[in-house]
Amino acid sequence: MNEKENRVENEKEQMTDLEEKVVKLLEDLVLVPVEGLDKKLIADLAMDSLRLVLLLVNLEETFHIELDESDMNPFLLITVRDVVNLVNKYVPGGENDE
Amino acid sequence: MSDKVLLPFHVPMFSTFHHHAAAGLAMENHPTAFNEVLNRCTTLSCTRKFLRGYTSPEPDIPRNGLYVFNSLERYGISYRFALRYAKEFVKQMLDEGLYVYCSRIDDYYLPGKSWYVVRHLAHDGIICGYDETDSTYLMAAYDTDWVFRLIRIPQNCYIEAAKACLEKREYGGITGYRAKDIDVELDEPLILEYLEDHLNSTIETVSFESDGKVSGIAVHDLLAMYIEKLKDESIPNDKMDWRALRPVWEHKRCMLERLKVIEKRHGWMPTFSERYAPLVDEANRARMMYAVFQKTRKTNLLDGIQDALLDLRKKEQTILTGFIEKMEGKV
Repeated sequence: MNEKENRVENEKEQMTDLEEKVVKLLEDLVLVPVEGLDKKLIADLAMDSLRLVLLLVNLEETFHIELDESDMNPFLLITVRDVVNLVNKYVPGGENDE
Repeated sequence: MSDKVLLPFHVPMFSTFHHHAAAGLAMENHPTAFNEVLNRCTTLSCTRKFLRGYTSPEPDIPRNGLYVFNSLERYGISYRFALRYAKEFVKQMLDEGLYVYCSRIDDYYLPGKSWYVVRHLAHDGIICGYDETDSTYLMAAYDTDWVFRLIRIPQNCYIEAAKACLEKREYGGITGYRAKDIDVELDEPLILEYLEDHLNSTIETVSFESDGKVSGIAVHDLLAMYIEKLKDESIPNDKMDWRALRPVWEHKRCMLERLKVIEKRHGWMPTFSERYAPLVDEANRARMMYAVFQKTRKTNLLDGIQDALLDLRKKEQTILTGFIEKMEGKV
């Protein structure tokens, strides 16, 4: 395992359940590994407008939440961490997730 | 002669319609041609047919598109005369730095394009490059996910697509085009005139007796009425025009750019552009809510979209009224 892979692996090990779920959800959308919470949705993960819309829809379904209208602009979500923070607003720590 | 050519590609400011995107591709890569967009694309339009059962409000940006801008040079030929030599024409145009607009080609035959093997539809696309090593074109168009991007299409499929339309007497053709080698000035008196027209066309001025096109700020109200038709399902949700709100967002982006350019030109503080910038986000949010509605059919989203449209109209009226007053003191 090289240094970069080690770093990614360490970061993944330290992720909370909620962060892991967000990463998995994103990986299912973009079909590439999401290596860290600071990855940019458009620049690094090549998300387009369709996938950004699907992201909102899937977040609601996966976390059983209903996003406020004010949170319906996915272009304001720049990084994976922003997505985690958005979900955290509705399910702090992900405890309502199950 | 090279085996590969690819002209600059980006997603232009206006890309809801291929003929808008075509113009943007050439004009946004030119030092001043985009000024013509700022001069002319000041308003929105839609039709009123949806009030009597038609499923789309047909939103549009008037005075926009490949065939209307003076700063573009165009060389067009119909497939009726050009089909046999279409590959040669396309290659030569690209070699000379011209984008190639292809009108009325059947999506059914074009891998990666929006209706590939789904529906026979005479649709458009913009060839931005060729690759002779694998006999493909790089075509800017809406893909199967309805995302505007470059799609690699076999040249023979393109010929099939053009032939299919021609056989149905859909007389499309190719138009090679690029921005002229000229300096395009910002025309502030014209912008002022068009902005006044935009604001004067309020919903109170709209007649509901006919179905025709309406342009101006009233389009926000009409689109809110269209959303009402989705709410009461008098327009079936599976027939909804899912791109209806994209031109609104594009209009706001362009308006913001116009305000910034004029403020900078006069050395004004960016007061109006800073007040207007949130409208771009609001329009974007509205179109995203609309897209989520299309996926989920959550009808509670529709109220928010209507509110956003009416709020956009109100704020735009206020900001642009102030901006016009400021311009009148200077123009």
